Amino acid sequence: MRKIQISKTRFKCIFVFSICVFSVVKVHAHPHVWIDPEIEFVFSQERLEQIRLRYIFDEMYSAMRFNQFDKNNNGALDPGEKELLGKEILKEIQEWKCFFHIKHDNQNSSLPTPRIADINMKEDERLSLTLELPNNIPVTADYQVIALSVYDENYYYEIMNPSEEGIKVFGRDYIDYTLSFKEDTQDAYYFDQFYPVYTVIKFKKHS
Amino acid sequence: MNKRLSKIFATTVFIFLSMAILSYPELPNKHVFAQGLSVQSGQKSEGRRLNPVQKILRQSSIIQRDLRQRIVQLTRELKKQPQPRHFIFIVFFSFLYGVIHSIGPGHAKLIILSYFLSVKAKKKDGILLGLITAFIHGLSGFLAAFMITMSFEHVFKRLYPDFNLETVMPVISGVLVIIIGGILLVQVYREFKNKDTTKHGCITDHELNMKNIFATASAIGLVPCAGIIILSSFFMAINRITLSIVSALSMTVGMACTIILMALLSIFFREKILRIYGSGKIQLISACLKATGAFFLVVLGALLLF
Repeated sequence: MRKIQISKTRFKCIFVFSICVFSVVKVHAHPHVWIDPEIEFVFSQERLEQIRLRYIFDEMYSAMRFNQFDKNNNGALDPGEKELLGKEILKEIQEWKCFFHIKHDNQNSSLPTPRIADINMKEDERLSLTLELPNNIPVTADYQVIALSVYDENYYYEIMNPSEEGIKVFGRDYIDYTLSFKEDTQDAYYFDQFYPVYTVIKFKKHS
Repeated sequence: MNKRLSKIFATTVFIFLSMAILSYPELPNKHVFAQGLSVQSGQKSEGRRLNPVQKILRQSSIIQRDLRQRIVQLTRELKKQPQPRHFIFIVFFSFLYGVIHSIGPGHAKLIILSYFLSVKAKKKDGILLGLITAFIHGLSGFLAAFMITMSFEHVFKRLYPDFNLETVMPVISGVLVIIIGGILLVQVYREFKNKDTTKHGCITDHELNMKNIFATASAIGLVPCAGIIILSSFFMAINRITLSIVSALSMTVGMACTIILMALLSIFFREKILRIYGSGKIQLISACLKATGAFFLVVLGALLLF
């Protein structure tokens, strides 16, 4: 039987080709829309009342949506137009559960139904959609941990990590808290290429 | 001499593109791969080391975002103070956007790779199939953008509430790709079964003709390109129809470059394999490649359905 010998160059050819074939399988993917998120935790004396998520879309997507919904061409979004645009975007992103994932004390938490709080064109002509996630987690004397991550498992939307300035806590007087970011290496998505980054707030009643 | 020149050219383009992607400046602390960052202490860890696939995906995303920002800025300048250079740069950046956008997953590259594994093709067939596929892929995206902008989609939705162009077209394309894969599989099976009736008692390769190329490209390219939908919708929404057509065309040419590169790579690989293992077993290896390619087409077609 003839022994088959493969030269290094040939082997490299086969290797590179195999990588090309097998590394990119998904048919619909790669980001088409970019989002910079902002997160607000709103506390009252008794509980974590709500989490506000602000999605700031990239310029092209914003301009496209703005022009589609500025029906009277007055260069601004009127309340009626805003409502229609908000509903349209919410309908789109609801397919992916609005991208947010919440853990309460390291357990996956049931996802609240988001409500549109605001939709606006910012000064830098980027569309900003604010969602309110109602919550009812009591503030106790013991520390509790809420971790929130926003990502699109399909990678159609690329959602950046919030910047430090993009995370705000309201009702600070009622609680003692710390904020941090944590990468969840146990729960990779998109062919195991990305790890979700959680914004973690650890809080208890102010002592 | 010509062959040598084209090889040098292809290698140069490949190296240039790879270097451009890998050396593009990274956006600090903004990406999904972000690092363990402690807000409380203000200390910042160095973060994980990225593997090559992650790095390519990351850089490709950063470049695409940057290119789109540039296109939007140029369009704003064009609105304020129209100058030919704005137009030229928009077209140029659309082309680059097309090249980088199609490097990522999707855009029929894998289907084309599988297809050229299963058929005997010349380099010009690869170029032609890549061009036509990219053109149909771009055209379907442009038409989708047109329907969205002109509100035709709403009319369709009123008649057919479940109608969604972006969902329907991949299904049609998927079915057609499965059919092509199926036909190729049946061909291999028949040829294998009746091998005594074929030339030298071995399985033969079919030459590609224009009809085959066009039919295959149509089936593969039907899936509308979401990148073109967004780019075209953006220009259409600001009543820049000419710019919408030209930039979509430019982006299509950019995508065609990547798709053609994949097609040529596949043809080259097939030839190499046949040459390496060839001599006595060339027909058997050819049949194996054909069957593998056809099988992949069926699987990929099925993936499009879900």
